Amino acid sequence: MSASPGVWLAAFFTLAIYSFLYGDNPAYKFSEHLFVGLGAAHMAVMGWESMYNRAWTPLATKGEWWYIGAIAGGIMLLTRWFRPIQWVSRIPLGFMMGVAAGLSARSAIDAQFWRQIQSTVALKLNVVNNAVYVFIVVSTLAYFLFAFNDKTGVGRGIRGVGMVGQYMMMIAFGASLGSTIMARLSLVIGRLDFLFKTWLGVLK
Amino acid sequence: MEGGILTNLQNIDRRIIYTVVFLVLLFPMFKPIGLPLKISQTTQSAFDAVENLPNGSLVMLTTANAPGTAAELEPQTIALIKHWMKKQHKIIMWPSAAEAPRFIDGYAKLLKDNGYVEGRDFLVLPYLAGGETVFGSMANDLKSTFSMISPGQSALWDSITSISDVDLLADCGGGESQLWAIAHIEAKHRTPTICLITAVILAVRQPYYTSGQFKGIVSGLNGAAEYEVLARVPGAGAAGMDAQSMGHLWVIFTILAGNFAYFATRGKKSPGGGQ
Repeated sequence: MSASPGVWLAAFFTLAIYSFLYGDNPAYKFSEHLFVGLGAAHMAVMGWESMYNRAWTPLATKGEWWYIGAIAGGIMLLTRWFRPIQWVSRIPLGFMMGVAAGLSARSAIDAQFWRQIQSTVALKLNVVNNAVYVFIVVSTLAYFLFAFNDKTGVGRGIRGVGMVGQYMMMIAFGASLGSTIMARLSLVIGRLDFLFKTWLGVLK
Repeated sequence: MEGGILTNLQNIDRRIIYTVVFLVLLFPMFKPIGLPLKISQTTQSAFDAVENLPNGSLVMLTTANAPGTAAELEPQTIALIKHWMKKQHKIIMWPSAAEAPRFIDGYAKLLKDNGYVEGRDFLVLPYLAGGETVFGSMANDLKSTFSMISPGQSALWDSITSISDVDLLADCGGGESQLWAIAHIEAKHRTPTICLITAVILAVRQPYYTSGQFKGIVSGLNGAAEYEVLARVPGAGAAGMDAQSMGHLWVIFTILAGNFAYFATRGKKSPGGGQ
């Protein structure tokens, strides 16, 4: 059995969190709140360190004055807490959203759009897997085509293919759910391994 | 009593189900069964991408590992790093999430314990807030992104001019970081990229493997087990596979039993008068 107080603490909190499976209780509530608090504190420290390394140090030691803008932007974000000057926080927020949108749009068009189309079009359909892949892509896209009149032959055809696409999506969602169960089991296995190997020392 | 059993099957106390899950997972941990393990194509490709690099190549790990994903990502990452050590690769590690630095500390210790020297054979870059913007910045100018590392501080760092010097990038995480890696680094420099991910996002990452943007994918605990087998580095992944397989059998059993009971009793009136 481990002699480390840290391991005992971790074991206590593991059991306290899992006690929720039996029913809600004070031990679970305490652990949950502590976890959220620790997470927030950790993020705050890491954020501070990042700002210190990335902005304050170059400003103070190398005289890179343009980092004043970044630090000022960060401080402006904090004005959300003061109602009379709350509007100031929207300036850096808008800037951040603009940068993020621009950055994502530029990169997504190539990596997540154009190259996906290229690779799908380039698939050789004489391989069953590829043919199924292309069929699922086309039928799924057809499901999202709403611009055609259902009363026409073309509209009915697209709707029919789209129905198949709907089932394909459901299969994909089912596969994702299955993977989620697998992931959750992995988490339990990880904790059991900790409890019986690291804490109790009964598992080799 | 047949109706009673079928009705009870649909109303099993969740505490009984969880207790059985607990026992089913625990049993193979004490008495390994040795269920067969099939290597998936995505893991094989990830292994090949590392194996085919010349010894002493420069590799980079960007990781967003966190307590919630560590059960899956930690065995994968450790297997990958052990494989890298076998190939004597130079390693750069960067935490792309605020929770990741403490995991990187563990990897650094693993490397040091195996004779790697920090600064010469491997390097840990500091966490920077910003998510995707940092990936974009690294793709544009790696050296100035981490300008806090002074010249002369690390021989490995001094030998690099840009991220195009990296021979293989491995991004590890359960979120969006893989997409940022391929959107910025792979797209701009064509850096061969593999990803280590939680099983739940495999379905949405697979198209990027098909398109060649990922050279390989290691997914979930089973991916870790497969990689351990391929790289011949025994670890927590393979050890947990029996437990996971037994857990799946129990889940399948409960789904089948619940559905059988539901369809068998559908439309029949219960003694209380309800449906």
